[in-house]
Amino acid sequence: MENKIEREMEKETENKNIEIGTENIEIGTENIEIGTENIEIGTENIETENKNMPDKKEAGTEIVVKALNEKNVDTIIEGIDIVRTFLMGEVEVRVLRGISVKIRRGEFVAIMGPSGSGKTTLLNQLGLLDTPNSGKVIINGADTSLMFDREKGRFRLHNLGYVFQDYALLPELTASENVYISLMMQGKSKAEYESAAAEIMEAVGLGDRLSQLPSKMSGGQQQRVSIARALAHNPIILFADEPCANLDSKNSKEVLDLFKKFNKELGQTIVMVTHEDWHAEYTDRVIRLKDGMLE
Amino acid sequence: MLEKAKVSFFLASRTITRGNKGITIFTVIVLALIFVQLVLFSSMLAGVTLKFNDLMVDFQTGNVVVEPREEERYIEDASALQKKIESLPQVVGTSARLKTSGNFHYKEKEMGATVYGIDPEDENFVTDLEDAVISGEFLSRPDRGEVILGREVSGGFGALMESKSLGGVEVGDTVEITISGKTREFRVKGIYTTRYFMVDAGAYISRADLEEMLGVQDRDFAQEIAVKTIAGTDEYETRTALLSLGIRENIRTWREFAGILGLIESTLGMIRDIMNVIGLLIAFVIIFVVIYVNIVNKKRQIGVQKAIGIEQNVIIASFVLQAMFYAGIGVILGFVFMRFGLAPYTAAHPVDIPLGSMSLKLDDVEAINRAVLLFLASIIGSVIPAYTLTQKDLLELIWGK
Ligand SMILES: Nc1ncnc2c1ncn2[C@@H]1O[C@H](COP(=O)(O)OP(=O)(O)OP(=O)(O)O)[C@@H](O)[C@H]1O
Ligand SMILES: [Mg+2]
Repeated sequence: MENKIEREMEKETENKNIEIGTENIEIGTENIEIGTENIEIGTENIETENKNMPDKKEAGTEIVVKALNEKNVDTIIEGIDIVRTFLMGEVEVRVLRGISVKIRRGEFVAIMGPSGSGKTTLLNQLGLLDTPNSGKVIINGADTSLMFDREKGRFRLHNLGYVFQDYALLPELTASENVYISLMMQGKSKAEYESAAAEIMEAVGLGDRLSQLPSKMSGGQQQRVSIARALAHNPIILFADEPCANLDSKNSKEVLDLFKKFNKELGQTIVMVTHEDWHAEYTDRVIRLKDGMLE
Repeated sequence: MLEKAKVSFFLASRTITRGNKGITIFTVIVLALIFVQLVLFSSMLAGVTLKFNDLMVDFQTGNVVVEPREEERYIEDASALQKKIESLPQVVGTSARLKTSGNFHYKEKEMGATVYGIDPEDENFVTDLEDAVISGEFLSRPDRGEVILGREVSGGFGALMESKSLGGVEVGDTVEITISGKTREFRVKGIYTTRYFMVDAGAYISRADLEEMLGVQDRDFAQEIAVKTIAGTDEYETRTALLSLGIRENIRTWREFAGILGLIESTLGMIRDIMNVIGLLIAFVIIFVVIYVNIVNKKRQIGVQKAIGIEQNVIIASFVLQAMFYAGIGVILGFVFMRFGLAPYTAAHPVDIPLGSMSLKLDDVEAINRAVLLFLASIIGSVIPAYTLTQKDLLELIWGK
């Protein structure tokens, strides 16, 4: 239900979003928009924004719906001053050193940067696969820093989709089972999840491979199954970490074309980490990372 | 709730049907073996005890034994008492025996054993000793100076304690027997085995010979009267019937008579209980390790499942269901193997052990008890690793960091 509403809302704003294009998206601390209220704070710094935080403390889906009722809701993910450090033995490594980033609804964004610059780490923070040491991630108006692990799990199940570099399909499930397992978990009926899986498999060009096991498929096919899995439940954002790293250029192109298609036709928001400049050409905008900072 | 259970079932069933067959088979076999190991010792014990019982009745005591009154060494007027007892309709026969320990000599060898003085024909009504003779013949009434040796005395014939025996006496040989200081030569007429060490470590001569050696000839003395009843007669009823005949002698059922066997049985029972505890611990550790290795191998898959929003409880439940499935199949296989394989096989081909020959007897209550424990062990053995693993961060699960 919700997703449908969102979808429609997205479609309405889709063209506008895409037109706005790359220039108009504020990054970092200088130009912060606050999701739900859509108040332009302009050049104010983060502290100002933090003062405003209590206004949007309500958690979860309520806010998502509320956010959609507001006009001109453009920002779908907002990362605010994200810091992530890891302990390497005794040494604390600051992998993300206070990153603030905004991604608009319907955008197809690439995250690029040298190896070890923290791309995967950033994607994991935005995709709720990891928790920052400080800072916040606000998705669709919901402050995810207020969520428990369980809630995050449920949020991922209903709202987010992931494509991993090595496909990460469950080897014991067939292609369509891999695709519908999350729908099953959502409590959809057999008829619903089977037809949804068939539909999305068709859309990724594997309509004839529903009952094939991943081990019997080529890398490109597996990656397309994993895209189908990531999109089966109509996520509000699709995250992909170097989805083409293990693929030859022909298969890479197929995968990127699929991304582009879902982005254009359905207004699917996509955040993709990549190394290749020609991959980035498919996207609307590139976020560059260097040593844990935005470039 | 229901959809969660559905997903757990779904994941478990797919792993079972499509997962690594080798691991599945290995796990099931390990669990089946653990089950067998858990029931084996008590089955052995049940088998041994069962045989002890048959052995007592068939080769030694009959169903009931009449013994001298308190403070007396002998039953007097034994044949009169026998007649009296045989008048009871449920009594098949009685055998009045003298019983003492004797020293046997043959060539350089020497050993001690129990010597029974019997009336061969009476004895045949009570015990199956005649059928246990494997070489030569059983005693007959007029025989004097002849002896039947158990194989543990004679040696040979597969005796279990060969080195203690006389080392290969054969039918027709002469052995010397010393009883209360008197030594006499006896010709070996037969050698018997019941395949039970304790019964086979004995010798039978005629009652008249033993009376002579004990110096109680023509006194109609006996040290025990073994009474055999019609199959299915309750021993305690027989005793009541004997008491109502006015018999003052001590009357014991074979069960009470089996004192030493009872002791062995309870000792073995204790050993069994200890073995069971150790066996269960070992079983638990093995199950835990097997399931743990299985689950740890799936770390990444667990991570992916968690990442796409499958709940931890659902993931844990899917592993527990798998473990329960393996345990179920393992128990069934183990049970079938015991019930229709090993138990009937050992019944047909008893194994010789120092206590005698043994076959396995599987007790259903015991088997169910072990099955339940194994089930619990597999649940705990899967919950613990599945829980600890699903608790971990996604980063660690998926990227091993
Ligand atoms: N869980 C972790 N524990 C310790 N160090 C980590 C962890 N995750 C990442 N790092 C370190 O953080 C840095 C950034 O890692 P990250 O994987 O985000 O880089 P990346 O930009 O994705 O690189 P690549 O292009 O090689 O994938 C690296 O130096 C890495 O070793
Ligand atoms: Mg990376």
